[in-house]
Amino acid sequence: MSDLAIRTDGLTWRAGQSFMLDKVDLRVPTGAVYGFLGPNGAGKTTTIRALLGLLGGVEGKITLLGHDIPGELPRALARTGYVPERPHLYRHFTVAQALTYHSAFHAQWDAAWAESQRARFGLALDRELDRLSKGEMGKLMILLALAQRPELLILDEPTDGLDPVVRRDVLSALVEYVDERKATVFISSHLVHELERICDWVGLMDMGRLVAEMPMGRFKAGVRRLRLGGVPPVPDGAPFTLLARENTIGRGEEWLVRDWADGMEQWFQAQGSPLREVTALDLEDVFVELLRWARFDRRSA
Amino acid sequence: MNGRIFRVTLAAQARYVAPFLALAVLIAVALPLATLQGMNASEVFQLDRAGLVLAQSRTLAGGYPILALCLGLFLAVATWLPDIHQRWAYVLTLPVARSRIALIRVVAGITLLVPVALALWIAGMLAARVADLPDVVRAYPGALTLRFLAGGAVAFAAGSLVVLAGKRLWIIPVAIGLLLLLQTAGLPIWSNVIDALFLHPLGPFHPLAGQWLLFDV
Amino acid sequence: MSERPLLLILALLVAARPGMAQTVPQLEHRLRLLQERREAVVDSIARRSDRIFEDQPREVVFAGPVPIAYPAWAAANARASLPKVAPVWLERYGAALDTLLRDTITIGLDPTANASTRGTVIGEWRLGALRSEVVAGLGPDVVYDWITVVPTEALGVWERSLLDTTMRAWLGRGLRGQSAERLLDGSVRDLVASPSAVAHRCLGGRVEECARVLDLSGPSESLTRWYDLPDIAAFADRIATESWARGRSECVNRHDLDQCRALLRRNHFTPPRPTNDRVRAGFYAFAIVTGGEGAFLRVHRAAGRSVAEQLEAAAQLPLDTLLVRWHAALRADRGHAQGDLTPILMVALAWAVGTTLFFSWRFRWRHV
Repeated sequence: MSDLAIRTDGLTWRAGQSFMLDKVDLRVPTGAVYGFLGPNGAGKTTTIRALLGLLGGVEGKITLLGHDIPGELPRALARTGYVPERPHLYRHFTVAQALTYHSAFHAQWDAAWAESQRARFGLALDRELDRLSKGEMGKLMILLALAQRPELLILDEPTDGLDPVVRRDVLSALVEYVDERKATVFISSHLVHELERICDWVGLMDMGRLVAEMPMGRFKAGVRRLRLGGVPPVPDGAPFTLLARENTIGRGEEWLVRDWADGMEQWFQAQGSPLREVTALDLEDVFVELLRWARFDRRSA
Repeated sequence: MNGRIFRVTLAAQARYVAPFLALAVLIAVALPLATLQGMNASEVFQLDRAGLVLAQSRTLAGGYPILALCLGLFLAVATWLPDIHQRWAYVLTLPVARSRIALIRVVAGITLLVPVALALWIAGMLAARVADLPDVVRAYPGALTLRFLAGGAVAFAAGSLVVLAGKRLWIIPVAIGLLLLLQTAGLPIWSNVIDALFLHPLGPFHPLAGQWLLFDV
Repeated sequence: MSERPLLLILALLVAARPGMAQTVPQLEHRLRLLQERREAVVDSIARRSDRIFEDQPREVVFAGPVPIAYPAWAAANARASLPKVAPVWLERYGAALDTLLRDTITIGLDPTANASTRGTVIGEWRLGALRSEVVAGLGPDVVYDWITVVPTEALGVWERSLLDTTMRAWLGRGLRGQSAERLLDGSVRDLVASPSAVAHRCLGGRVEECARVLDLSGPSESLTRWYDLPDIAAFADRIATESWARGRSECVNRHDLDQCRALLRRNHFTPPRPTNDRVRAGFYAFAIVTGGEGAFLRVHRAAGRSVAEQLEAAAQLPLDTLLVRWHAALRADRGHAQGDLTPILMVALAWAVGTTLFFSWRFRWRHV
C-alpha cells in the first residue's frame, strides 16, 4: 500500500479567467486523519470535487489510494466514502430505499453494521429523505459512507450546521470507525477547534492555494508571534523556523515563528536586535495568523 | 452486482414515476377499447362495419404516438431530474463507470415503457377478440405494441439528450430558427429536414410517424 | 430567357449520363416532339391556373422545358429566379427528366394553389419543385421512378386532360398523383371499407368480382352490378325507415329485387359507387406500370374505345390477366404498412445505443 492515501501534484483548475485551484500539492498519509482547513471560499470543496473526478478540465496529477484520477476513478471510488457539504441523496427516497440503493453499488457493504447504526441514530426506515431534519440527514450520510467500509473517507464539512448533540454523534461514529479500520480520513472544515481534537495532520487552504501542510503536533507546537524593534536580524541560523514576517511601518517587524522554546530571546540579543514582545497562540490563532501572513506575502509578491 | 445495480435503479425510477405510469397504463388500455366504441349500435349497417372499424382505428391512431411521445419524454425527465437537482454529485461518486451508469439508466428507462406496452398489447388483443371483426379487417396489436416501444424509446432517448444538453439547449431553437430563415429565403430546407427526420424509413423520428393502426387491412 | 438553349443543354446533360447515350438525330426528334406538345401543355396549364388563380391575370413562364403558370404580378420574379433554381432542379430530378426526352412527355409545374404573397409563390416553387405542386404527364416506364421522387400529385390534371372523356369519367377524381404503392395500399383499404360484399369478395380472391366493382364488366345496371341483393335490401332498410312503407317488408325481409328497386327509386336513392375513385386510379396506374414502355401513348391512341380496352392496350394484357396480377399485387401489399417494423426497431436501437455512448462521452458526465 502506498504511504500516501491522497496525493496531488500541481492540481490546478480554472473557472473562467481566475484560478479556483492553483498548483495544490497535497500529501495525505495513509491512516492519517487529515484536517483540511480554510475559510469559506478558500477552495476546499473544489479540491474535494477534483479529487473525486467531478470536475472537468483539471490540470496536474491526482492519485487516490494509488489510483490515478480520473483514469481509475471507479476503483478509487469503490474504496472511498464521501460525505458532501450539501446532502446529495435523492430526496424522494425513504431511508430504507437509500440504504438499499447505496448498498447495491458497494461490494463491501456491511448490512448488519448499517442496521445497528441506523437504530443507534434513530433513523426510521420509512421516513422520506425530504422529511428528514438536517441532523438526521447528516447522520444518514455518514452512515452510508461508513457502511460501505471504505479505506478512505472524504468528508466535506460533515458537521456544518449540525447541533452539538448530532455533531458529537457523527464525530464519535467516525472516530470509532477510524479506530477499528485504521482508515484514512480527509475532512474539510472551517471549525478549527473541532478538527483540533481528532486530526493528526493539517492542511490549510486559502484563495485556491495550499498555504501550509504539516502534522498537527508541529502545527500547534511552539508557534509564536514576535514583535521586534530596531533593525531586524537575518533569520539564517535561527534556532526556530520563521513562517512569515511583516514590516509594521515605524514599529519594527512582526514575525510568525514555529518551534519556539524558552531562552531563544537570547539569540535576538546576540544579533543585536531587541525583541519587544513574544505572544503564544492557540490553534485558531495560528490558523488566523497563518492566513493573514499568507495573504500579506501574496500581496507583497 | 450489475444485475443488482440494474434492479435497484429500475426500482428507484419506477417508484418515482409510478403514478404517471399507472395513468399511462390506463390510457393504453382505453385507447384500443375506444376503437370499438359504437360498433354494436343497431343502426350500424353490417357491411359498413369494416369501414367503421378502419375509420375509428384511424381516428384514434394519433393517440398511440402521442402517448409514446409523452411517456418517453416524461420518463427521460424523471430519469435525470433527481441528478440535476443534486448537481450530479451522488450518481457520479458511485463506484461505477459512467458508461455503465448511462447504459443502466437508459435500459431502465426503456424497460419502464414495457408495462404500458404490455397493457396496450393485452388491450389490443382483447379489443380484437371482442370486436367481431369482418374477415377483411385484421388486428395488429403486436405491430402496434412494437411501434409503441420503438416510439417511446426514441422519445426517451431524445428527451434525455435534451435534458442533459443543459446550457447547450440553445442549439435546438437556433437550429430551428436557422431552418426557418433559410425557408424564408426560399431554400427548400425545412420540408426536406422534416422529411428526413420523420418520413425516411431510417429517419431518427420515423418510429413516431407511420401508421399506428390497431385495425387495418 | 429562351427555352431552346436550355432544352439543348438539358438534352446533352441527359445524353451524357452513363447508359443514356442518344444520337443527335434521336435527340432532335424528341425535342421536336417536345415542342409539338408545348402548345397543348400551355393550354392545359392555363386551364389549370384558371382554377387556381381564378380571375387573376397570369403568365406562363418556362424553366427549360417546364411551363409554370404564375400570376402576372409574380411572373417577373419567377423569370428572374428560375434560371438560378433550374440547375438545382435538374440535379435533383435529373432521373425523372430523363423520361422527358425518352418518352417525349412534358412536365408541367404549377407553383402553388394558395399562394397569397409574392414571396410565397417563388419560395413555394423553389421549395416544392416537383413536390405537391407538380402536375405531370408521365412516361409509362417511369411511373414508379417518377412517383418515388414526387410524393404527391405526380399524376395530375394535365395527364387526365390527355385522356378521353370515357376514361376521365371512369377515373373520377382518383388520379390525384399519389404513388402507385400508396394507390395500391389505398385500394385495399377502400375495398375493405366498401359497403359492398362484391368488393369484399374481390379482395378475397374472386377476380371476376373485381371487374364488377371496378366497373369493367360491361354495361349493366349499376345497382346490381355493384351490390348483392342483401346489400340492396340493407340500403332499403336504412333509407325507408317507416315500417309501413310500400314494398319495404318484401324488400327487406324477402329480398325481392323489384320491390327493392321500386322502394329505392321512390326514395330518390342513387347507389353509391362501392369503392372510392382511388381504387380505379390504382388499377389505371397498375396497368400503365405493367405495360411499361409506351403504355401511356397506347392509352392515348386507344382513345374512344371502352375503358377496359384502353387499359388492355396500356398493359398489353387481357383484362382478366391484368385483374389477376392487380389482385396479386394488392394481396402482396396487404399488411405492408403494419408488417415491416425492422427499420423502426433499428432506429430505436440506434437511439438507445447512441444516447448511451453520448452520455458516456460528453456533457455533464465529465463536467459538473
